[in-house]
Amino acid sequence: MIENKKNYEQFDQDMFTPIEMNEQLGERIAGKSLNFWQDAWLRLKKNKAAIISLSIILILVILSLFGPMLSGRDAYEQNISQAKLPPKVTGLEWAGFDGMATLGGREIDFYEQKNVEENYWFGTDYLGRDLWSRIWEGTRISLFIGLMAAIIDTVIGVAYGGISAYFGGRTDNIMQRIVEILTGVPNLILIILFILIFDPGVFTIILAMVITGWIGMSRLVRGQILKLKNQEFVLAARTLGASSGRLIFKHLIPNTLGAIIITLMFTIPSAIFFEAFLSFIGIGLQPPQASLGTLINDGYKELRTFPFLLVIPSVIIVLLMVSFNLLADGLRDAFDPKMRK
Amino acid sequence: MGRYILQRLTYGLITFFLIATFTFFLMDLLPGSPYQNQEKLTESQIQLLNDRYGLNDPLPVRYATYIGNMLQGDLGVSFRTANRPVTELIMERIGPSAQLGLQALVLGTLVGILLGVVAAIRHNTVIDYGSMFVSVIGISVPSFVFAALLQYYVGVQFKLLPVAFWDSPAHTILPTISLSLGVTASIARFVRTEMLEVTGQDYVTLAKAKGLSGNAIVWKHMVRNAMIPAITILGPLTAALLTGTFVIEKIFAVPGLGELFVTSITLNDYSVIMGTTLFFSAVFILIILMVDLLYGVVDPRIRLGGDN
Repeated sequence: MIENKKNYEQFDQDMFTPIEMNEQLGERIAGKSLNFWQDAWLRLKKNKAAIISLSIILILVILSLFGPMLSGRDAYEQNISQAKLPPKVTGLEWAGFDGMATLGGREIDFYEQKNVEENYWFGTDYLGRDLWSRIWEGTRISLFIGLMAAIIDTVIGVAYGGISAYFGGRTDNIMQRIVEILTGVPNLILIILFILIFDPGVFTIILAMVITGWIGMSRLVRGQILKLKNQEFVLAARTLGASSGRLIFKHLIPNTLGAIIITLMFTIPSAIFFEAFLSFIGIGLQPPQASLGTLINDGYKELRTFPFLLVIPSVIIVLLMVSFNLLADGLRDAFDPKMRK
Repeated sequence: MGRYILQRLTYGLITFFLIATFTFFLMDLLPGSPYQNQEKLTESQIQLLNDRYGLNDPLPVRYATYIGNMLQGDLGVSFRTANRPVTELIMERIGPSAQLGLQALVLGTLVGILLGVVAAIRHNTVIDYGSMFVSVIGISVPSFVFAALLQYYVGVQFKLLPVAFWDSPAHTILPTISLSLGVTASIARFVRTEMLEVTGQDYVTLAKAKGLSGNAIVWKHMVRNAMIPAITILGPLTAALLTGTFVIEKIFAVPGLGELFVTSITLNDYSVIMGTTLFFSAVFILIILMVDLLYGVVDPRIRLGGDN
């Protein structure tokens, strides 16, 4: 307090001139009027963790699309003579990318031993496939699964929750009893059983996750719409003769969009995790398809001799999960500053 | 209250019955054969085996038998493990899984509360950011990645603890830590938010006014109240622990239920898959039910059966 006072005393009284107040000035709006999204973006920009996460996600997305082209190698091409090479990048030898690995207690340069001239940035796996290309191929598939599962969850959840809350009464009662019964189902076991019956593949995994995944979203939307539907602006729209469809899609859903997007953002990492989990216990994607989960599973088998095969895909999946979680946290704060702690 | 419990129990039973039915029909669709070396068996041998296990009966008959037996606690016999009854297989594997799950739950809760409380007390300081960073990592790192790395570095590289199996308390340390990571992270985040929530409450001001020490206020008044809503995440946490045990038991070769389930899937051991599924579901449904009831008991402000 005392310091503050000192600071004020530095300023001369003459430096200040009182503003003359008049009616026009009082009505003037100083700042530009911002809509909801601009406002949220302004707040999000201030959140360093969220912005860094957003950049990491963008970089990973770009790499997952164009990464394989950078190395120029195919993710599925096998080359047994160049199998199990540790990562090597010219200029990054100090960071461990030196093509060396410990075998039988000795450090060996595998590139020299196998007479390989070129560098594999992330090394190769047990079939001599380029890990760099496989990682980005896998990241793309994992991201695709996460995004698709999240989007389908959202569509079903919003429709179900919206209808249930909007119509209320008996419709709501029946629909909520169904939800109550479904929430008792351990989703993991359902997912595993579902995948066992159908051929394991990208779409089976997405579908399996959607079966119970939409419930959370539907509950959220129902809660929000129940809160909104008796507010004045809805009544006004109804008085003006808006149809149910228009009310739901033009008035109610846009007002819950913030909450929906936040939930969507939290769904993506959990879907990526589930895919990796399924692939890790061996019932997810099948070889030769690459996803972060299958790569981690492959790497785990070679863990004792070639830890890089596990460590590199693990780092990517952790980066992806941390970034999505932090971005979702940031979005929650940006959309709803009251939630910030 | 009584009506509410009854209602919840009914829903639980319906859910369980639906899962049982669903599992049964899914198993019927499952590709592959339950017999080892089916190629080597003659047509009549397969016929005999099918007769013996009742696989030749029409679907409705098998379904009725299955439900009837299930109600008597008979989950059939394993096709693979020398005709062992499934119930017996499950019973002998509950021990390690329950121990692992409980240890992880206790460890995770304690560390999580500590992290959350410290973060809330030192709100917006390095300590707060540090402990929240730990919890974000804990939520984001898949348990199996963490377990594999822990196993490699602690077990294989530095040989500090046993790499696998379930023989002594030392063997349980690594699996417990791996499994507790997610619990720690979610509890820490939750407790921090709730602690910040109760900071401004009147009873905290009162405690301060009557001259209680900082520690007494935090542990006697704030943490206790902050922990009430934490009961709600016990349900999701149980689900997460179940998920965790599948991979962690596989990685550390723990002879538990998760390992049994994963193995029976790879072996097409139908009756074991069905049995473990039902068992897991029953446990899950019961825990969710208990959590909901507990919530009302711990905090009388919450009226059960609310929205009607």
